[in-house]
Amino acid sequence: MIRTESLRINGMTCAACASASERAVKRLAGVEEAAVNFATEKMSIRFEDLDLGLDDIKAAVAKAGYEAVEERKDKEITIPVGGMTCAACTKAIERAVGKVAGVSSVAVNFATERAAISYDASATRLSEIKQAIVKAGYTPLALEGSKGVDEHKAAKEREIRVLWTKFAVSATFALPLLYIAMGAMLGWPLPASINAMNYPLRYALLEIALVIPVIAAGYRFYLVGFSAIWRRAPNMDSLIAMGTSAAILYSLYSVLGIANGDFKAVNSLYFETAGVIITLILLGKSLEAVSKGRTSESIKKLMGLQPKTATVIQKGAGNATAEIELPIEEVEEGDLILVRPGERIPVDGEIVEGRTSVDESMLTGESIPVEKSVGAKVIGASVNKNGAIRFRATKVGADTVLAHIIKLVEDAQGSKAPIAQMADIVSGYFVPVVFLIALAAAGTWLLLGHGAVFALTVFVAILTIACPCALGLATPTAIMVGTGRGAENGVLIKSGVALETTHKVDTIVFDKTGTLTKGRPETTDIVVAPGFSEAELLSLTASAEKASEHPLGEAIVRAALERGAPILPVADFEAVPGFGIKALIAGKRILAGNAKLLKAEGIGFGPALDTAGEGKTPMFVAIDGRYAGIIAVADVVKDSSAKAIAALHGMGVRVAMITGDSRRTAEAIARKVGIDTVLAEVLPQDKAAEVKKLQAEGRGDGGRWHQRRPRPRPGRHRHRDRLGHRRGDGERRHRPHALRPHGRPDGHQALEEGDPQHQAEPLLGLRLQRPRHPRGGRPPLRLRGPPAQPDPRGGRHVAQLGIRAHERLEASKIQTIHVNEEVVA
Amino acid sequence: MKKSSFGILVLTLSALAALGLAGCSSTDVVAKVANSSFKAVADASAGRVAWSDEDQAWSLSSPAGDKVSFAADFSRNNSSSGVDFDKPDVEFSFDAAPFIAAGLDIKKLPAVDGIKYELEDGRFMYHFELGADKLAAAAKASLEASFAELVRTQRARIGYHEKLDHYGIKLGGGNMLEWAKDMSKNDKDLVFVLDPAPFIAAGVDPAKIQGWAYAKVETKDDAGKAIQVDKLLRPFNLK
Repeated sequence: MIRTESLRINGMTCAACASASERAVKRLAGVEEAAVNFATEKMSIRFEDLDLGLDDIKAAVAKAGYEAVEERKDKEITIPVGGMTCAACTKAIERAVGKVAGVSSVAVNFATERAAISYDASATRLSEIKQAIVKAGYTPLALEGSKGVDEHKAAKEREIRVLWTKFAVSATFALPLLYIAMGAMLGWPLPASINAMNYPLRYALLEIALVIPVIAAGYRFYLVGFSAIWRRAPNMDSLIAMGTSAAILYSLYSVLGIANGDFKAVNSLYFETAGVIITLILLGKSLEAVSKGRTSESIKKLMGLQPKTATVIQKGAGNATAEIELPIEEVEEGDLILVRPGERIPVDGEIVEGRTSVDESMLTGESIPVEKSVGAKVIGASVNKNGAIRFRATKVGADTVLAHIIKLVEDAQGSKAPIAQMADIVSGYFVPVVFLIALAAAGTWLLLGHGAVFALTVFVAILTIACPCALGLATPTAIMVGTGRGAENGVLIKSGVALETTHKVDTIVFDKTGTLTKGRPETTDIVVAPGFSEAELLSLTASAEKASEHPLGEAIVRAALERGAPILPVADFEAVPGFGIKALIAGKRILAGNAKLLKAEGIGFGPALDTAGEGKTPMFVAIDGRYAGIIAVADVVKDSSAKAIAALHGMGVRVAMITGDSRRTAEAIARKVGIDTVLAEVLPQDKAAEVKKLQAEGRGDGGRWHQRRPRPRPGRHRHRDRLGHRRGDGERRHRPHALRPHGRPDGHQALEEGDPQHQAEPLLGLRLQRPRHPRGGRPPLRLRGPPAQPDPRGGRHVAQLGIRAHERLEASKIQTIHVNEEVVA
Repeated sequence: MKKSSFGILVLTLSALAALGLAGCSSTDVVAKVANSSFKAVADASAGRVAWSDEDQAWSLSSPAGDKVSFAADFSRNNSSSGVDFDKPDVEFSFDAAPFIAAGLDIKKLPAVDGIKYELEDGRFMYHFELGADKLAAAAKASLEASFAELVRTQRARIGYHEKLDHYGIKLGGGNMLEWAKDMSKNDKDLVFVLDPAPFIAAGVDPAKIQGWAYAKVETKDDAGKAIQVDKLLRPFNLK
């Protein structure tokens, strides 16, 4: 059976190491594919597991001089345990917990009353461990924390700290060493007591004293470099080790000469060469580690979206329930969770009680909160806007959408661009070739009659200068920094390939809402009926809408606040689903909603505001049974959209806009921002087809139509939910250019593709997916899951929210990402 | 103890040892070899080494009669009233005729701190005052002993001239005495090195001084920087 595994490779210091370990594994019979990513230090292996096991692979890697370790799945937790009375209790708990399948270690400390447990989260659940403790007669208390997830990150941070410390030590000694060495030649002020000519041995010993700490700081280059030579797989460290060792050994020989009276040998000291090389390489390594760490910051920010705790409703005796705040790690599938307005939803689930609007923008890019009611899916880390809900957890831990997105970003950051793959290959040959060249050069100079010292100098120079850093480090670092920087600006760059092919972009298709427009409704028009003032209309309507906490209402509230209209207390409030709201404010009855609401109440109103042209949503208002006016709300164009599009035009990029809006509305907006091509009245499910049509126009041989979306609010991360790439045959195949979640797609956002030959087009940040049949045709897309929630009050804008739920499906199909205007510009 | 900790400890101790050694006088190989090489020069001139009771100094003469003297005690010419330059710490003595022939007017020789010029019986004498150190009584025992005391007390004046493979004593005012580090590999066993500037000021055409070379010499300044300087050189082959 074919098996795919991922191992972490320790001990690699350059791309040549990656190639060496890759080669070692590829030689094993049964290995179909092995790829080592130096940047992420991960090896992905695809192998036939009948004759080959992970231990064989690890052994092969070990033979190549590196260490392969399985990604640690164990979670380490510390559970405070109550009820212990003596030391024997610790043994009882240890025995009980130790029997739980999946627990690898348990240590109970009687003094601190804590049990430190390491367990395989895939084999057992925390609740089982707790149950074991309860069965043993003790009380497990609230969890203190989980270290499993961050273990590698902590190790990386340690690595960065260690590298900086080494660099600091190295630089502290290398700088004076350099000064002393160069000062003697360049006449820099030096104490007479260390004058190279008058006190050559003292001078040399001082240099030795200074270079030793530098060597200590860079000792790893020697350990790794020489062992690599021993294994006949020299790498970059081998060059450093050889070059600096040659310099040091030759200098030591010179020191012996000085001690024996050959004072001219003071000119043949190269300690500073070795010291400075080690210091510079350590600096490079430190910078590399920092740049690696920086790219993970975006992931850390994503991780930070998840709340730390969840309010779980647990049944007590009888029908009584209790709300218990549990650490997020303790939430399990099936738990009933309460989320109050303003709180973040802790894990993925399905609403079982309540109605609310949820801001999923940080996950899906959808800028306008989505209405959710019973049966609707909620995504962990999204924000519950305005209604208390109870939902049943369906996905927790690594299965959540957020966890998948984090994984996608991690995978993307570690992906290799073609140029990086080439660099790996080249660097694999580079080191031995440099050795040969160094030997040949030294030999040639000897044959030409130059001295051994000169030949050795040439040899050392070639070894030390020929560092394959540029080949092995530059490309992965560029990808990591590029993708990390992109993530900081709201751009998910899916792979190195996407980054590398960015320059081929010639057309960009923008989504409208939240991309070209602000994605946040704003009050655009106020039409006041005779007998009312604008201030009164705005104040009363805003007061009523304040209670509704509806996105459209929020626009009216903002307008009232901006214009100084007072927000009054609401005596009575009622939401009329599909119509609007009713409220009693300052003794006046307020009706605000669509025309149907007023008609239903038998209230006549004047001519409606012509809003069709600009996609405005009219809010009809009646006060005390009289029509009082209309307040129009619309998603307005961003100030920066026109500038961004102009910048794209300046780059020679054709810009199109695709929207479900009417052509009149779409064209009005297109005119404002300078769009070249308008694709209007396109149903969400047809958007992919429209893009394909554009592709078929022959604008490039595919993959040059890009859909990007500026994020609505700069400074915040918005990541399009790309769920739903599930293979028709159930097998996930490597698709290097698409960010894919692992696991089954989630509910209505899922997408089934019948074609296993799922192809991707190279795009910036995303790949425009063009599923193909083996014979060249393309299968129709089939959407799964329930339709989006209808807007309770109706109205064009809110209806659009419903459509946008479908849009996300298409977005996942066409791999939309968010690009903010600064990036575009 | 972990291997890496042990390694770091060893390296730290090595660094400290190297630093300690650097400060140890026994590592002053220049001083050591300066003494041994000068002894070789003195040994090669055994018949031309003499002690002067009057001057309380040892002298070494070249086959041509040029002479360098080293006082056995530098403190002997120092008193509360000042330095008695008639009893120099080191003295050069050579034939004045070539200088006079080249235009020397001794009255015009500019005063240089620590130096006294004297012309007597056709010989030009350069008196150098190096210090007021009380040299060990053993300095009287031999030229080498006097010299060793000079090196000990005036170590900063001793240097190695890489270009000529010579050692040298800086006598002040740009004047030096140099000798071969290894006489077997050097035909310039002893060299009087004079700063030509005072002579030029006193009317001498340095290029016309018979028996002396007027040349640019590459040397290193106190900071170790290579410099080119004009010098009057009087080399001797003592073999």
